[in-house]
Amino acid sequence: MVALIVALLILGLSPVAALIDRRSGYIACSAGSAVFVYYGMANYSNELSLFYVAAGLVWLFSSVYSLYYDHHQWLGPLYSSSILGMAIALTTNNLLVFLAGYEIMTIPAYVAIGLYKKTGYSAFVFMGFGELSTILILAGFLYSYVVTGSLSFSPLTTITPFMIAAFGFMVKMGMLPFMVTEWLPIAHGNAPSNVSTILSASMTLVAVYGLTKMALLTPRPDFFGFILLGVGGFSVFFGAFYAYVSDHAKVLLGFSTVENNGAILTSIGVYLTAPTHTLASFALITTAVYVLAHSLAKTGLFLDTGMMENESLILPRIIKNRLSDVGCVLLASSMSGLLPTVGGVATWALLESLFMEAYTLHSALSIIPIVTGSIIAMGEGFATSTMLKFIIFAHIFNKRSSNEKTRPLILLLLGLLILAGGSATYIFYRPFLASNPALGLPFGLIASEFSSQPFGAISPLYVLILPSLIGALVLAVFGKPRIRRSEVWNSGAPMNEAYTSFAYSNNIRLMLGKLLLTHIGRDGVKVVDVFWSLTHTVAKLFVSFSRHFSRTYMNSRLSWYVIYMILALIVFTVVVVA
Amino acid sequence: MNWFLKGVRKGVRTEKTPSDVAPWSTELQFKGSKKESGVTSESLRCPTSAIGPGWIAERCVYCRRCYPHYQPTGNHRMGVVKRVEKRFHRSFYLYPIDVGTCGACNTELRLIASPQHDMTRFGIFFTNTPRHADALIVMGVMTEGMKEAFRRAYDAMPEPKLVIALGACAISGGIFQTEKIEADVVIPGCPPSPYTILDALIRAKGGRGW
Amino acid sequence: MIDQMVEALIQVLGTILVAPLYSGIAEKLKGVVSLRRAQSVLQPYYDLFKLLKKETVVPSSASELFVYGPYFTFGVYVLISFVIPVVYPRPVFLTPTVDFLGGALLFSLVSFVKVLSAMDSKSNYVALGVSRAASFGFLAEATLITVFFAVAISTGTNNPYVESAYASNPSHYLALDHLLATVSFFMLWLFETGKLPVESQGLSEMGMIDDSLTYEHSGKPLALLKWGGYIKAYLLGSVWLNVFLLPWGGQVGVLGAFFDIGLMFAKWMILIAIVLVAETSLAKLRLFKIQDHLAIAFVLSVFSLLFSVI
Repeated sequence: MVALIVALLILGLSPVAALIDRRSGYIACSAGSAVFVYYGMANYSNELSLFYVAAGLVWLFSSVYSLYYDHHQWLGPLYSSSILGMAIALTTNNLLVFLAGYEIMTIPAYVAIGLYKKTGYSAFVFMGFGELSTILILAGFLYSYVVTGSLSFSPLTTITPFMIAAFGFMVKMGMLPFMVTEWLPIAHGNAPSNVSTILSASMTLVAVYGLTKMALLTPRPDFFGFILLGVGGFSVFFGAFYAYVSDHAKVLLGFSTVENNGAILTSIGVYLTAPTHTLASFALITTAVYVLAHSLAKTGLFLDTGMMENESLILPRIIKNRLSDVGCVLLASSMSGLLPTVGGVATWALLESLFMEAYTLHSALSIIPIVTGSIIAMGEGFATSTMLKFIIFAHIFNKRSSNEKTRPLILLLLGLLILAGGSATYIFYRPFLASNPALGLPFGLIASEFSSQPFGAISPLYVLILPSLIGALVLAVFGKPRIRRSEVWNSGAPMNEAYTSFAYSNNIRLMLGKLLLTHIGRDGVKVVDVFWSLTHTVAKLFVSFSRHFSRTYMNSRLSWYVIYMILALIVFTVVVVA
Repeated sequence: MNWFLKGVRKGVRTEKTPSDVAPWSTELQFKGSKKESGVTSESLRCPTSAIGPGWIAERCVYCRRCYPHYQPTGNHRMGVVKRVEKRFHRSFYLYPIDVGTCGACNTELRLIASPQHDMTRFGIFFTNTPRHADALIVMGVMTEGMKEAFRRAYDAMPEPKLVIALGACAISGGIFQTEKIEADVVIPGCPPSPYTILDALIRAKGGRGW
Repeated sequence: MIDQMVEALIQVLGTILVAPLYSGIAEKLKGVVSLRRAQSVLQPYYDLFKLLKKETVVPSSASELFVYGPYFTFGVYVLISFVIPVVYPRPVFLTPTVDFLGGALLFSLVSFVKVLSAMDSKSNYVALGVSRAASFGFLAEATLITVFFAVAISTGTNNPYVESAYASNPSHYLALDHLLATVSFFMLWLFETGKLPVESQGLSEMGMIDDSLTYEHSGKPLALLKWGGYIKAYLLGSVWLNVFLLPWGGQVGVLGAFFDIGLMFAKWMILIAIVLVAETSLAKLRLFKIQDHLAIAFVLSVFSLLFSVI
């Protein structure tokens, strides 16, 4: 408890410190975050504590990074107050304080986007959807207050408050059809990378936290979870899909956040609908592990875009060297759901829990987890291609190299953390540990279970060690190659033109043109976010409709008012007589 | 399914020994009478001066102006192997590069992959990147534009590697008398027949020829 | 424990050493059907042997990833051969490292590292192939996952060895879900191993998908990549044979393990015969039609999942 007070105090002081001196603000922020991580680890009680660790790590890394990155005058105070808001929202048990923290987190981000905007409406869109989310959450909380009569998070007897709040959180998480809340502020807001990190990696984390916390208080199993499954599954697919066809580095990552949040939402859905208690607790741990994986990897990749001079992957100009190359490859492999990283364990557990649910339900209802699982499997395929695209065009195809050590080192540390973290997931999956000494695994198995008997099992530690070990053995057997350097073979021509990231994903643009509304015009191939363009169209229609309505029927002409009065009189008479 | 059945029904069509060698793709020899033995390139109006003291295979473009003084012998084993690479005995990957041909060498080279000749039974294959290649097959007169590409292709190949000059143009500049290519294996002819090509390739990797 | 280790050794060595042979036999028969005498069945071994002795040319701007990536991917393939029932019908040493889904994720890991290693050459031809592979990756990866789950859901466990035993029961074997999954996995296998009608393993760049990933490699790394390719084809093909098409006949015990290698040979002859007819009868699909092929495979596997629970 002392640690929490210290952390909040330091974080509370950091905006003030940032006002006085930019660097001291970030140092305070880093210190506060470090204490916050310690608080999460020291008081590890249930899965919610893992959120503290994840959030604290995100702030810690991005604050340390900001020390070497930010040169904007006003950013420091906004950045640290946003973090303060998140810390409050994460640690409080009071509904109103949570909302206050939620707003403290949102408003500085709005200001930051407004200050660094490229187009006028980006900050407005961010705020609009942010407030929509707040209103829904508020409504959910009010309902909870009505049901329980208490202003703190307390167990509920009905699912309705959760349902209402869940939609609010889903808007914030950028779920279908509100994916625009993730990508637009980042794309058009031109937010600096440390702010993007906060927007994408940890603000959504707070929303997931709220959602999980409410889910824990709600009676289970409930049918509503299937809606979360469906929305989550489609968000995974479309998030990964749009990420794949984006050539703007940050938009790509923003859509990837949608994809990951979709997976997390699905996992919460499994928790809510799981027929057995074992499966529910497995899904809950998976949710937390997924959050950890996403937060760390997304932080690293967004910080990487901070070293880009332009944000396009088509002709990227990025500061990079061997350290950040390795770091980003590790981060991207976790993002793609590859073992033995944390992301790999999370992806495995999510798919496993979906199919276990289908098996345990064993009825027509199984269709929902099966279809969701299949869609997520497709999304994971896209995610792998997307992350490859990012790594290839930001790092590998890029020959520029720099001598800067500090920021690439931060990325490398994050990468190693996420690689080793896969084997640390044993701590979280404590109730699901298994072993098989007869077959050479005396420890280190995570078994997925829906009842007493295991469904499947993996050992991240063994996957971490064995391929490298066998690879080394292969090296020992066959020996090192004799190497001679030569230029790239380009059919005899010099390498004047390089393959671009646009071309990389163009097959899909054309093959799935119907989904993307691909348009081939004189200025090239264009695709759109169907859901956003639909929302946009509806909004425009509504605006023109209301303008039309007000001009026709509320035009302060006397004759219309007389008609209104007569109509009112008739209605009044009818009501009274009846 | 039709193709499959047809293939099974027809059986293997690969030749066991060279047969049906086209006479005008083989070695030429002086067949005239004694008093004509003094003929020279000039007197026969040989376009590539391939008649010196005897017939020079590397230069001949088989225009047949020297006929009937010179006539084919039917010996197709004209390839000259200057370096044998035993390591390619069972696996020999070729990267053909066309530095300016009329197209004849390309056609004949392609024929060694046909069912009749079937290079794969000797472990010879084509490849589409010099990185995987063991030998570079050069065809045609060295044109200015391809000089750089040829150098790059050679550089791109891993050691050990062979250079094979295919056809009169690549060996001696042919009718254009441009520069020669330094090659480990020389396969004369205009164009060389598949038999000549296969024979030289097999000997280059340490076999007894075809 | 010692027994399990020996069985594991037989399974793994039986995979690594025998895998190239099946490619050799398939190529030989394909050649015979196209009227040629064709290469020796041992040709893959000759190629590997030669490549291991050759020099390695590395593009000037490539890093260690380009050179040592193939060693790592080979290591992962070897690990997968411990995990799935490719020779021996019971779990062997280290089998529980990952389950069926974990195996699918390991295949993804291989393709991830392979792509990065190939792209490290910065060659445009490689990029072309990678972009093609990426265009279909989403369906291929999804099908691999769903098809593995199709059997998992019918048995209630994701342990591949249990699934193999389960499918050997005729009533389970003839169930609709099993048959659909069998067809679906076969279509996927055609894609994963670059067989017609998806990809023609010729020399034309127009047909290149997976082949282009080795475009810049040479020498030892190329040998390992090629060998890895043979092992991948063997692993996926054997899973198809042992879990889906012919789940019968595996013997246990150390001696049984040797018998199993022979049994796998017999099973593979059947697979090769099927592929031979397909490869010599079908024409290559246009690039954009490949997604239709994979979409059908994916939908079949999803149907198989649905049928197994309803």
